[in-house]
Amino acid sequence: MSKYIIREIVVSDAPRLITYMQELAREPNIPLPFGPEGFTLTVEEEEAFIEDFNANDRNLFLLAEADDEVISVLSCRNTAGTLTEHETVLGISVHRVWRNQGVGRAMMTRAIDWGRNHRGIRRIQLEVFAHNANAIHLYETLGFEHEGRRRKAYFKDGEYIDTLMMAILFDD
Amino acid sequence: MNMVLWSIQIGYAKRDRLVPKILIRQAKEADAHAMLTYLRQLADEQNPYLLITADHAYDMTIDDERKFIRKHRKASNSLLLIAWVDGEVVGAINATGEKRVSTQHTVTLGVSVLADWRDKGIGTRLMQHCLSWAKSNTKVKRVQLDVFVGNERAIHIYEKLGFCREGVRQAYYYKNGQFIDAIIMAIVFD
Repeated sequence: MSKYIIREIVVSDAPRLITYMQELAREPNIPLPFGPEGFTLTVEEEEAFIEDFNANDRNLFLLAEADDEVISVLSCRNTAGTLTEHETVLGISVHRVWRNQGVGRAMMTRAIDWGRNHRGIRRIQLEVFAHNANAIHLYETLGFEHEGRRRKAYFKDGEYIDTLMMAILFDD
Repeated sequence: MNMVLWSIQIGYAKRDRLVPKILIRQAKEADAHAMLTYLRQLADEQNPYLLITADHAYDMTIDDERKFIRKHRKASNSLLLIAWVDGEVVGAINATGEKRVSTQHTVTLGVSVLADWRDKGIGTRLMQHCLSWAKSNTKVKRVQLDVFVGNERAIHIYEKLGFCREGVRQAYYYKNGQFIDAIIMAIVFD
């Protein structure tokens, strides 16, 4: 398998990011909360999003690339509430060709290291579809703890889906 | 939905003394000033369970509040109700719906009542109105809220209304120098 690198996303990644996200959104049964509308941001909107996202030092936006193609994206988004500035919500995806080869684990490890070394971040939380056993297993082995189950949290392809809440906490 | 939802003499009439009348109705943009005053009163009470900081309450402008009200009036999966006594806001509840197709069936509740007006059933009434609205709204399938660990009175009310505990987010809030867990609760409709 060829090599890939992991780095932070910059504004000029917008077009490649859109291509990646659109393909992901079209994938049947993808266990991610895409609606039937798919991924709809334009290049300008995506650029503005990246710029805005990266302006918050408690956000993290990573991609993995191989042969100039995006193969994985991870975001940690700082929660907006005034009492929750110490936490961030993680989302991750891996291109289908690259699954089960450690890319997700490598991306997650980068994010966890970032969170652990960031003085302002106390917890990284995520939600995962309750039936996504592979992902749940990965998160458990990385140190994420179960925090509960949100019933019917998402609606996708005509059905309601429960999600599991998980989080990893860092001491000061 | 502009009518008065609920209007009742509250408390027990002691001899001939008049007791105040509480009125619950949907918020309109003209209520922005009264709502902002209310929010600041809440913040000044220093209630440890309040989900906003005093700074945030004082940073908000009438225009922010107006936008908040407008958003709740426009979206078919959102609702903002106010409880009034003598022209002043004493309590409020917001049911805020999400926008994306995958989550627009979910609404998140925020409910509050001024300290002097607690234990009179106002919070429960606000919740009941909100829940009957949610039940009759074909879009809404899930009503969720989160509450500070230790806020037993609120948790008890939510459980009586049919909310189930779904989990605990550890150290979810940071307030007054402390990390506090949040209990996640929800009602799910069939």
